[in-house]
Amino acid sequence: MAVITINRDSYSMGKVIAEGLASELGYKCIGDEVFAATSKGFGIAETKIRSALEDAPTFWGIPLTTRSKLISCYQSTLARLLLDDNVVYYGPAGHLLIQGVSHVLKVYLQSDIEARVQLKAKTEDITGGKALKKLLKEDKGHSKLTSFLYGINGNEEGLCDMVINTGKAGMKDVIRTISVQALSKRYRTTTYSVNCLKNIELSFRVRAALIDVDRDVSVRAASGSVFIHARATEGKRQKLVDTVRNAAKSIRDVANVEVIITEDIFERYAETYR
Amino acid sequence: MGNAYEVLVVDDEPIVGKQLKAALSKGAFNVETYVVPAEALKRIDEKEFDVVVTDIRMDNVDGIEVLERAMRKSSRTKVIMITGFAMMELARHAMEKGAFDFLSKPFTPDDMRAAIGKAVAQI
Repeated sequence: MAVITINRDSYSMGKVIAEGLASELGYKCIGDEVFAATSKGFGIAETKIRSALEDAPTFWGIPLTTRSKLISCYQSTLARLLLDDNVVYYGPAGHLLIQGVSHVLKVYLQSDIEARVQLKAKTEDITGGKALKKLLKEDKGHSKLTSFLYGINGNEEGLCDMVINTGKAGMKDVIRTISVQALSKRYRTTTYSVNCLKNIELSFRVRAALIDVDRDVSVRAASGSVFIHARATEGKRQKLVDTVRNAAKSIRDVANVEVIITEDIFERYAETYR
Repeated sequence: MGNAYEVLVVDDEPIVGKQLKAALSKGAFNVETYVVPAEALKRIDEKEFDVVVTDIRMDNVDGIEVLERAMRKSSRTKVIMITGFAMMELARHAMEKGAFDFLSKPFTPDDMRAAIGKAVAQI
């Protein structure tokens, strides 16, 4: 019927609510499984994938190309798992990784800072003051990460279909409110929305494979046809087209490949001065 | 055809109706196609169809109007919306209004056959 993504401020009871919701609706609940499935599917260590999605960028941290590749692998895996339908996902950035799919209900859970501090202090057995300090630092890191990876500066909840304050409503009410929405006609699965998910799965699988060729490559898939956009100087254009086309053609489910190259003016000027 | 399902297709692009008729002719379907939405609405008022396939954006008549009219005639009619301007919000709106399925154009004959198959299975 629908897919629900739960995104939240830390210590807003996201995982507990996701599990309660899945149990109420008889849906599958996934979170950490996506890291494991990505690791298995792409042969990459789970810790690296987790780090790419969760660690704030630092000067000595994961290089951008590597991070983009790992996130593309995760994104493709997530889309594949969501194709099973009747799923509640509570892992990182569901509302940012899966966009434009009409049967995906995106929920954002908020909680007052006092309630979050209380829960963190209890969970980690620390004082309220320490918990507050740590929470603020974590929130800052999260904002830095979403801004760096997805270009989102605040107002993440604006990208969601529902925003709920878990501090103001009881757990049962939160679950009931989300369930009612998820079961409404508005979020029913359609042929179009399933195809959108399939296209996301293929787009990011192809992107992950091509990112080593061009860090800025963007890929859009539509029913097996892939449209690849990359940058190159005039002199390197044909070689890049051939490399990208051959690499993409060998990927499962790719039927047609169209490569669009725009001129890399920065590289051209750099070449002038070499 | 005795037990054939009755299907009405309305799209102001004649090629769509023509291709759908060809794609469905091998199955147990009686397909009527219309390029003028007003004529399709008139026919919907006259006859109860099992499945109505309608484009959303057409001159003068909106696909949502076709959907509402078909459902007013019979609540068992399944309406499948098609559009070349598919967007998430439009799909949600159509489903909210009671559409059975939503497809973006161009679609494959297999996608449409599958959608109609699911629709008639629920009648």
